[in-house]
Amino acid sequence: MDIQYAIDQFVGDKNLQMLFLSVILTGLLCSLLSTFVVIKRMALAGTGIGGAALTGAFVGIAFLPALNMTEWQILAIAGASAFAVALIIMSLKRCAGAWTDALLGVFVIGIIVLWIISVLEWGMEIPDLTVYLIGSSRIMSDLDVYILSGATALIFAIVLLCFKPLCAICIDADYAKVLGNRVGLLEFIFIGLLTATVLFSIYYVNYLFTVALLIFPGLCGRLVSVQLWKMVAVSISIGVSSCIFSVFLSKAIVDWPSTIILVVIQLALAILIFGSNRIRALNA
Amino acid sequence: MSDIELLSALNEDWFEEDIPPAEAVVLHDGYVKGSPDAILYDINLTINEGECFGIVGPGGAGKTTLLHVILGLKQLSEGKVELFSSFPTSRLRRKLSIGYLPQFTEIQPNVPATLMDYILMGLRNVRGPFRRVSRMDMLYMENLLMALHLEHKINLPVGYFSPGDQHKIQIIRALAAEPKLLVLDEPFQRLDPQGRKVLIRLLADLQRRTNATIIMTAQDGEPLTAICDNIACLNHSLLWTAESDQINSEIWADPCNCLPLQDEEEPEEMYDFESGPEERNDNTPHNNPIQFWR
Repeated sequence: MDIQYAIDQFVGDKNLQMLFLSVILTGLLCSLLSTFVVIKRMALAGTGIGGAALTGAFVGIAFLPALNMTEWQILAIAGASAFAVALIIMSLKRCAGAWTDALLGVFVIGIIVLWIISVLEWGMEIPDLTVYLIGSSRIMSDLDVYILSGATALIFAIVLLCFKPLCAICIDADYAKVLGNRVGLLEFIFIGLLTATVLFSIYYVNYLFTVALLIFPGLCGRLVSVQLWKMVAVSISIGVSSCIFSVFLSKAIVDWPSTIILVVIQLALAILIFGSNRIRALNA
Repeated sequence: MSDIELLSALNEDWFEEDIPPAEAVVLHDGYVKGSPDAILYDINLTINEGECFGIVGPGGAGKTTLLHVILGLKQLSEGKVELFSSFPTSRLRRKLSIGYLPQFTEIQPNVPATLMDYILMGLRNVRGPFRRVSRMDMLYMENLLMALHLEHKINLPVGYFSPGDQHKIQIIRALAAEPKLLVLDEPFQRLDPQGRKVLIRLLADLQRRTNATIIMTAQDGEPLTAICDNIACLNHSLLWTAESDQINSEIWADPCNCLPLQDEEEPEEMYDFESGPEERNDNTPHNNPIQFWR
């Protein structure tokens, strides 16, 4: 266990630096939206949008090989698929209410079943797709750095601009409407941001990483504080630090995939915070 | 009479002449379709700026729907509504300073806000998305919190308060921005007599300082007489509108079936017992209540 060696390796290795950068930026994006996802009870929506993106990628890779598409074209198909499902989720939330989560659950399970059948029964070899699901983080080129940094800055700016109205609809959507907030438009902006985040995160890291970062940091923030801005701050801190820690552990100490380490760390943190909250409540 | 005396006499006449106040709310032939019957019909209503207007009626009479129509949250099926001379849109609501107390519903325990965050929500849009809350606003909010005995609980999660306190918190949120238009849906419902007195004092104070237009509803109209200039009785349509001092306390036993005292110059509107109620010429589904003069 040579931490100094790992640090030296990091300083001298541009690929490793890029890997850290991609994980930090996607972690930042996911954990920023994570609080709103948890508060608005949309954890399954994030999972469903991710599943739709994977299905789009699946269609691109498995069924359209004759078109010889580039990775960006596949990403565009995945994006279209994810956005379509996001819109369906939005309209379902309005008309179906509680049924939305059940339908989303069926959708996500359906994708996983399709996945297993296509690999085990149909014998499909789709290594690219496995990378999207649980694979290692992408080593970014300079162009990737610009794209991901730009997207992160843009999503951060939009969230910052809409932060107060977003808080208002999380606290009391009806009152926010009376004050003149366009609740429908804000919901649309939010689901758009969520879709973009999920897409970038799956493209640059993977699906499991994305789902974990959309749920656990927000959950920890929710358990730690009752104020929205504090929840967001806690969520971002936990999201980014656990990303850095898991990649570092994965590269320097244990030979496990960083995503698995991330999930274990975040799950442990959530259980720890929940447990301490319960103990504090019992003592009080 | 010299010219100067004549001119001053004329000026006095001009000054004595009443300048009609601007209209805050105008509803013309308002009709809201319901299932199976109309929720509201034949609503003709004018509320002036700076007026405190009370709406009394039984549960399910359409009071909340009427408030939603005024605020532009619900569209009229037929008719016209104007709020400060404009059609009420979300843009207008953003521009105006509006305070709103919804009919009481319990705040969920998982609402991510402390008492202070919840009250500040009433201020955010009014004061702009990027501006911090001023010292004056904070002082006013502290006064409101002290008046309703909640000043020591500002950092507690809002979802954990008792229903009575939650109602007070929602009242403070509605008042926090010192709104130009204050719409209160059954504000006295969960208040004890002391709380009612405090609320009436706060509303009177707000109106005195800012000339706010206040619209409030109640099932029991008696507390409204203490603060409202005019009161209307609503049971799907407006049954009567009267000045507060024309209404005696006996009416509140059954406001939909009694009429307040009217001025003598309006005898033609009196109920004619021989010919019975005038037939409505539109598709009004509700029967007229039996009305009589007191």
